[in-house]
This record gives sequence, C-alpha cells and structure tokens, in this order.
Amino acid sequence: LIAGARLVLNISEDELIKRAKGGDAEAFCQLATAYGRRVHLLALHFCRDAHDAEDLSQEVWLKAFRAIHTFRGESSFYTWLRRVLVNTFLNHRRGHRLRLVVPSQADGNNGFDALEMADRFLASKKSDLEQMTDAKLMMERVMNALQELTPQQRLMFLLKHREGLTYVEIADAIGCSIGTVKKSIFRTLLKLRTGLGIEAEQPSLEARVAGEK
Amino acid sequence: LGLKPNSRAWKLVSPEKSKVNLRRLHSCRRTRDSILDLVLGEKEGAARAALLSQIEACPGCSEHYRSLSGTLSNFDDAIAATSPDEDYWQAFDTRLQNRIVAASPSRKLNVADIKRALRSKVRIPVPLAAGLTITFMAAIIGLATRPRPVKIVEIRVPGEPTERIVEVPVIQEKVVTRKVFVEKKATETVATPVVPAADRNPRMMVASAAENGGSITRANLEGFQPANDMRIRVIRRNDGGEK
Repeated sequence: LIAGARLVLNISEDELIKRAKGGDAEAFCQLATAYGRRVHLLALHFCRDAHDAEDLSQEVWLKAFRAIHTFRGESSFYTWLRRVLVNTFLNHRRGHRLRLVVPSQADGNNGFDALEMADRFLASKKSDLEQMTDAKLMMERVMNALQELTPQQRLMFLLKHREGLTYVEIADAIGCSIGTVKKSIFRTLLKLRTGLGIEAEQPSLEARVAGEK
Repeated sequence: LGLKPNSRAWKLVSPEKSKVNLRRLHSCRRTRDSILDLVLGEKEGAARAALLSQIEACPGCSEHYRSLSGTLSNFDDAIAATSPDEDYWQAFDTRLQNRIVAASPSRKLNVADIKRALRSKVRIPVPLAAGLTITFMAAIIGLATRPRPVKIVEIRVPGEPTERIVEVPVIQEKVVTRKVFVEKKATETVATPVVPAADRNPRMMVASAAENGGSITRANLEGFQPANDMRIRVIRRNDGGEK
C-alpha cells in the first residue's frame, strides 16, 4: 500500500490535519482511510488475530483523534501516528495467545481466516498439492514462531522488517538503546529461524549475491 | 561495484588481493554481527559489497547469511499469503470510519478529555502561579465570610386591614375638684357669703338638697369659680349611632 495515495477529494493532508484539529471527524476519517490499512496490517501481524487486531488498530486511531491537537507538523503525519501506534501496541492487553483461526463471517463481522486466506493465495499460484502442503506448513511454522516472541520483540522486528525503520528510529519510538534494539531483533530472527527450521532447500549464496549485485 | 581504485573497500574485493586479505582480516564473529545489518538493509554501498565478499569467502558465515535471508523470505511469503482481501478492507474502512465518527469529541466529553485538560502544558512561572493561587483563595474566603445585607421585604396579605397613624386635635380638659365642708348644725342658718343668684349653680344646689333630706344646706363655696364655657363631647360609634 502506498501511504497517502488513497486521500480523496483532492484535499491535501495538511488541510485534513488542520480540519481534524478543529474537531472535524470527517477529515480525520479521510486520514484514517489513507493510512488505516497500513496500521491494520501491522496490527494483524502483531496480534495474528483479526478481532484483536481490529480492536488495536481502532484504538490507535481513536487515540490519534483525541491527540491530534498535539501534532505540530515537525514530522510527517505517519511518523507521529507511528508513535501513537507503538505506545498503543505495547500497552495493549497482554496474555492474548495468538490464534491461527479467527472467527470468520459467521459473526457478521466480515472477518477473515488467516489459513483460509493462505489457502486461497496458494491456490492462486497454481502449485501442485505437495508444494501447497509445504507452503501451508511453512506458514503455520511462521505463525507459531511469532507466537513465541514477546510483544516487544515482535514489535521491534515488525518495525524494522515491515516498516523499514532504522535502529535509531526504533530505539527512539520504543524508548530504549540502539544496542537493545539490535540484540532484540537478532534474537527474534534466530527464534524465527529455529521455528521455521530453515537449513536446506534455500538458494545458494552465489545466486543470492549475484541477484543482489 | 562502483568502488574507487586503491580504496580500502576496493582492496578487499579486488580479485588480486581479496583472497589473501580476506583470510587475514576475516573474523567470523565480527562478520556475523554485521550479517544482521546486511539482511535488514542497514548496509549500503561499499560496506555492503565488502561484507558480501567476506561472507562468500567463509562457508560458516555464508551459511549463516543464507539461513537468515531464508527466514525473512519465508516470513514475507507467509505475511503476503495471510493478508486480507479487498472485500475485507472495504468493510474494515467502513467500520473504522463509523467508530471515529461515533467517538467524535463534539458528541461527548469523556474522562480522557478532562484529564488532558488538567494535564495541559501551560507553562507559568512558579511565583506567578503562587500569586494567582493565593489571590484566588483569598477571594474565595472573602466572599464566603462577607456579611450579607439585610433586606426587609414588606409582605402584604390582601384583605387584612391596614394600620396607619392619623393626627387629630385633642382637647385637653382640666378637671377641677374642690372639697366642700358642710356644717350640720347650721342647717337653719343662712350660709355666708351669699352667692348671687346669677352665680348659683342649680345643679349643685339640687345635689346638696338631696344629700340633706330635701332641705337646702348652706355650703362654703368660697373661691369657687365655674367654667365660663361648656363643652360637649360627642362619642361616635362604629355603627353610626351617637351616644
């Protein structure tokens, strides 16, 4: 998703922020429409539960709406929103176990099932049955590996790998040292590697290096 | 790779010197620390190229790099496969907008707003803040202890007679009393001095006669002077009659 590309009505982001500061809920809704999916995807990866993720992402937006008057425009709107997001994620209720299967459309919430979605994705690839089974097994391993991480480890890893933040930015957002961030992400990666059981069947180093060159 | 000839990075990756230099300079521990930065995109340009050369020259580091890259690759595949489709996103956008509109501050004032108002970062110098606080407290105490002015309100009940003071002329009467001594033995004698007939009070004479059994008694009325004028007092009753 390209952030900000979904702004409607040709109103600039600055204008929407200005209106939102004045209490215009409609203007803030347009900002939420522009960045909502990005925030929600991060929440989905953080929670791995559709209901929790929806609660979490909505909580982020509600907090942002209440605190929009504190946005001074010194950074981009999304950078400011990310701070709200990090605080909300870390303060989110703990002890929620990750679930692979979440309530779907049966509850009228138009929810989604992560494994069902993975099946659809794999089917669209037109792979044979063995490949699909392997891929599905790998996805389950990813989910289980994520479950083993602490919320802070998961958040640091997502901010680094999915959001593309630097170590400095993550340390600033979470409020810890750069060394702590590096160690945490390294441990997370090792945990994920152990969980996925990756050793063989990977492209050779030469091929990867050649591709990067 | 875009490296300058004879630069440090160039020397590391140059075909002639690379193998010798790498064997001499390579440290697996240091390299593996840097591999994390490499796979997470923290290394760029010459540093990236130099690190890749070192990794290629060391089988252990190469395996480490391959496993970490594969982990991230599999993670990305899993994330992509489990992402929601467009139908879900449309419903999600609607729910999110409804939630924001419902929580609009114009609709309700919640506890968080009150807390935020109390925690607002208005910087006031301490002496000024103390002065304002003392003034405020003094004003409150002064208002609380101030005596309230008494206001008399006349309440009139309809139908009740009103009372008012009216000045009327008062006639002051002077009552003169005299003691009259009568000599019982001198009933047959004529009292002296003789009062002229014009000055006699017939009423008094009748009264004296009645007291003495019908006989006229001489009385000592020396110095008695009857009033020159006679006044009549009329007492008017409420029912209009006279008494």
